[in-house]
Amino acid sequence: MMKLSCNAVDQIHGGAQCCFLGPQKRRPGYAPRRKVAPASVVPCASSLKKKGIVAVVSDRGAVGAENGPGRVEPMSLADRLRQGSLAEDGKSYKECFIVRSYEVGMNKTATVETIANLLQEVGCNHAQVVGFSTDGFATTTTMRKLHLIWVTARMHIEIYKYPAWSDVVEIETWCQGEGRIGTRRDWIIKDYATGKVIGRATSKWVMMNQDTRRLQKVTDDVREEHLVFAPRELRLAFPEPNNSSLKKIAKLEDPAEYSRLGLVPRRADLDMNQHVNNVTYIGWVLESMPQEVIDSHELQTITLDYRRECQQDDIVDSLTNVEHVENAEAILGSKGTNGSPAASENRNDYRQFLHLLRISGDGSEINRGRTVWRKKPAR
Amino acid sequence: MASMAARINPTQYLSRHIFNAEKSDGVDMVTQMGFYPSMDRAMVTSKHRRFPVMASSSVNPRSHVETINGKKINGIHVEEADSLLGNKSIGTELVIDRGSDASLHSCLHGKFVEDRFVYRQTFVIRSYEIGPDKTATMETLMNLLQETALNHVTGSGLAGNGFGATREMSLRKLIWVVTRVHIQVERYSCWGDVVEIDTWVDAAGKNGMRRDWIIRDYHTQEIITRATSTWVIMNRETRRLSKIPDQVRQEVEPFYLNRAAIATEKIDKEKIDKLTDGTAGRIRSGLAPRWSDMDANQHVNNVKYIGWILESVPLKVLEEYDMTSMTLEFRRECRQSNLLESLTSTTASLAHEHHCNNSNDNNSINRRPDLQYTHLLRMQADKAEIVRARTEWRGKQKHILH
Repeated sequence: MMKLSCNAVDQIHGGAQCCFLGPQKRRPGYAPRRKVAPASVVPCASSLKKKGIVAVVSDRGAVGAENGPGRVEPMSLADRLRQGSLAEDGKSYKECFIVRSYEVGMNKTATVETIANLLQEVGCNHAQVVGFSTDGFATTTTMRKLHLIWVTARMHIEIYKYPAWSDVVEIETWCQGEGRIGTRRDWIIKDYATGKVIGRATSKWVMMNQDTRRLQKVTDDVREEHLVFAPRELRLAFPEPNNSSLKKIAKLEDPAEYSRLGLVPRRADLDMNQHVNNVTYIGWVLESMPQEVIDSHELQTITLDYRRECQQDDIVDSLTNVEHVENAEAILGSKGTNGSPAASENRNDYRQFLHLLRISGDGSEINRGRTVWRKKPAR
Repeated sequence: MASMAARINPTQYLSRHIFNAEKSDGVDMVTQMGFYPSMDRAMVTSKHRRFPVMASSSVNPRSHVETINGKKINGIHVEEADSLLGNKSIGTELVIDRGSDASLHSCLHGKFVEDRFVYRQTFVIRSYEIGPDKTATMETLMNLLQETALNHVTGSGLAGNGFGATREMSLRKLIWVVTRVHIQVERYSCWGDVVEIDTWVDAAGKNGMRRDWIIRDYHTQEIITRATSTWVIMNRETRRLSKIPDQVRQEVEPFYLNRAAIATEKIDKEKIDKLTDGTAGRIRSGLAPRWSDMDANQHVNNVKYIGWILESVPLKVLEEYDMTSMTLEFRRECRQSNLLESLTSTTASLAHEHHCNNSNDNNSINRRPDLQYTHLLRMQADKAEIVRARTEWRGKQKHILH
């Protein structure tokens, strides 16, 4: 790969490509900023500074913020703000986010939905930077030709410490193949100020035909396109064996102990492609959690298996059952602490639940889930 | 000093530094700056990161500690850090700000400009803040306005205890309560756009406060949204309105800036009619606040009202028109257990002659609105009013690609 000396990569802003592709066309106005022609983008990962600060190709046609006309200081400020960066080997992507006040919940810390939104955001930005589509589907060229899109099959998030308002989190993400049928995307979440890991997540994606809505095997050419940017060796956010991101989720038995019926998608739940946002399902799952657990415990882990999409005019029921755990160690192990003896651990410190979201009318399953809650730390 | 810094493990240095800054330096720094002199110590020390100045004193752990001088002067890093990155801080920013491009932290936090009267913060529009029409939603805009307001008051001492109350107000159990918000949008942002928001406060009549905002597209610096809001003082226990006590007036007056985001003649000052079952065009019932709608104070976040208000707007309007302005009159707060109803008036066309696609005015950003609605959000059970609203809409322009 060409070794590049430019440190100006802005794949998001201005649709400008890496400077080695040639002079940029001036774009009238700024509105269609994100219309990238994905096929022409090649990540110039090797050029990015290890600092992770990326100068920008300015809209005014100059290359590099330091050399361009116009304001120097604000340009780099904005892009430092906005840009994540690819790692030196181009195989992973990192971005920082600040937690805003309205993303903070009743616990005065970021909600799990905020975290899930940020994971989704950094995933989208990664896909953009490496040249996948910018329409929110993150498709490769071949996929678009065949009308194929990625859909989430499973999402697993573990949060060890929730960030508070105005904390800055750094999220690193990468993707990999997952057998014949799909791809996975992993994340590591760190507190930017301390560098400590505060959460991890992994997700599994399968390919679906956009028109027929049927699943499809990942063909070799798609796999090639997609996995150019994947780490060569297997890299897992959850490398420990038998971790809880792999556990099957049983379908909970009716009648459920707790339920919240008649949930309806709001307009705000729709993403830019008019589908109910993945993150909305997390909110719905939590709707049927008993209040006393929410008051006394913090969500540590959530695993969701997505089965069926939900349309704008569906009505949804959320059901919850306590899941009895035979081996408390199984929960503790996934937290990454080194073993306190399982037997003596206070059962009430951790609670585990099984969830089901289904269409109200015909009862068809939208997704099933598992949550693990830990007792809130004394403040 | 530099060599000493080199031997310090960056992480340790960082946490030690934050700790020091938290304790005494923060308050000294604040007094030095001429800020609210008797700022509540608790606020400063509890969540240091909520005070924008403090936050930016956190050193980027990945920066080269051995080369940054790292000298601490009352908790402020000297400008050496900036020169490393080839930036010079310019403009009228205060010392506390340091033009601080030295660390990502400070880029994300806002800063005081214009002699500390105006608070400015930049934001990236994230993908999940975009609506089905691929632009930022009105909710997103209001969230960002609220965020800058909160950061402004926290950073300036207008809200000593984090509840939107100054120290003298807290002593008297008084809080600021918003009564009216008016937003005018010229252009909605897209995913990845960077916006810059300025906010300031001014007096509103004898006993009220006005907070204004301007949103600019960061790169073009064009103003894309203007907003204004009115606040009154209320006793948080009796829930009764109160006059501004003199001590409070003395606290807040230093922050007042006599400037308006929206020209007086353009502000929507008209009363908003109360809709009834009879006068409403559409009613949508059974709206339920979700667990995630609750803010840190266990109330339904103001911004959520917008979503509910729009629930009774015809889908065709949502799809084919952009909201150019919204006025909200807050009447009552809402707690989670209440079911809500959203009412919208029948469509009122504003009498203008132009048509969307054919007019020569297509590219003018000053096109006037086409439709107007009145709204009401009320409790389903007893019909008690929560919010009245008025919205204006303009037909979406079909994008002409060059």
